[in-house]
Amino acid sequence: MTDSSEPVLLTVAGLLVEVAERPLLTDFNLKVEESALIEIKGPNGSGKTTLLRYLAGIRRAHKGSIDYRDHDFAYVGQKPGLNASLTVFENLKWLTRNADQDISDSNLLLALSDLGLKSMRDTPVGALSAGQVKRCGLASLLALNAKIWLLDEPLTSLDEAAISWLKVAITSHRAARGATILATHAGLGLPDTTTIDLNAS
Amino acid sequence: MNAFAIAFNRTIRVGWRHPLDSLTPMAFFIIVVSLISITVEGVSDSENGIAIAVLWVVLLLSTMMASSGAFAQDYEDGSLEQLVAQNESLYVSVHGSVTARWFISSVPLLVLVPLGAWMLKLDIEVWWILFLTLIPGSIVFTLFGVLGATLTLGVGRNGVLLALLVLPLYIPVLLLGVGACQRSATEEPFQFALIGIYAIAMAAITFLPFAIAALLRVSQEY
Repeated sequence: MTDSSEPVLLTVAGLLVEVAERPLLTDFNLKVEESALIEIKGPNGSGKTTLLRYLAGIRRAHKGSIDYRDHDFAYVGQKPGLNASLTVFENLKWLTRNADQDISDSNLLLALSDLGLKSMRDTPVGALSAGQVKRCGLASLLALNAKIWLLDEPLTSLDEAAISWLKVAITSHRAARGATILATHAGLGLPDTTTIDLNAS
Repeated sequence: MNAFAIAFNRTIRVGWRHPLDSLTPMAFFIIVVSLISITVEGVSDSENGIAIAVLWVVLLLSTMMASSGAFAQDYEDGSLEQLVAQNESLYVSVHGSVTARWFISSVPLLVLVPLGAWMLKLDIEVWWILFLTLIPGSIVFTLFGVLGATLTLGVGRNGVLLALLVLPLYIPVLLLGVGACQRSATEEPFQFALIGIYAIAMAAITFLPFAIAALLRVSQEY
């Protein structure tokens, strides 16, 4: 028996999404249940990134509401928040500083070796390639163990291997009843994907 | 670790890997003081007043120089986004970060002050009051400098704008500090100015991080 007490992780109701006082979406509604995979699609400038920034609480909602069941999410933006002069490991420690459980260093190292960055743990992020920086940002997802993943264009500059790694990671995240919301052009092509087309709505 | 320690640690680490950010204001301090000491007539005479004013003004300018880049890198690389996204106390993080910034940029300058005082032939009896006022003074300068830097986040090259924005805020502390030192040098009562500068420092330490945290949030609204 699955615990069906409250499978909704996130409820967005009547959200006004605007950029520089210009409304992009006037009445956005969304229910995110456990194990959901939601792809937000739309042309450039349709508000994919802005919407995710609202969901992550980076922008304050002036109209409408965003309710998390237990305010437990991880956000990886287009700029993953890695300081160029700090090492991969130092950056990951900082990104995961507020995690519920105590993240042991070995847990972080595991995430790094999954992404082929283990030998780079003491390399400054400034010396990494664009794809490696992206991988490094995604590694924080594994270490954080958050219920909802908010990913903004996660596929940009990733190679084939990293993309298939991401698919596996999202699949096992869903198996653990976690939800994923991603803004993307391409789409991952995973089963049971809910697609939201911002242009059509 | 709490949010203060985390932010403090991170800022110190980043500062340590960019030594030029601290060394440039130090070099500026030494160059200006030494040029004044060899050119301005009367500095080396018994009048302490000019030497005190020179040290204060040069320290002010050096601190302004040092704090102009605060949070700029975090803004660029998305760290600020992560800071705002995590529903944590920005106030405490800002406190940690600014404290670290004071250690990185102001403490090296304060270490240079005796050298400057010696170059300007400041009477040794005035040194203690100079330090007693420069310490809270540099804290206020750093806080206002970071405030100005956060105001101009995303503007790009912000040097001149920063000077225009925060220089007026520096004036009361500058006048109180120089006043206290000069009065002490001429053996007049200076307690009022001393209390004033500490009061301003206390208020700045308490309230300015609120303003800086609010500005950091606003910077993400674009």
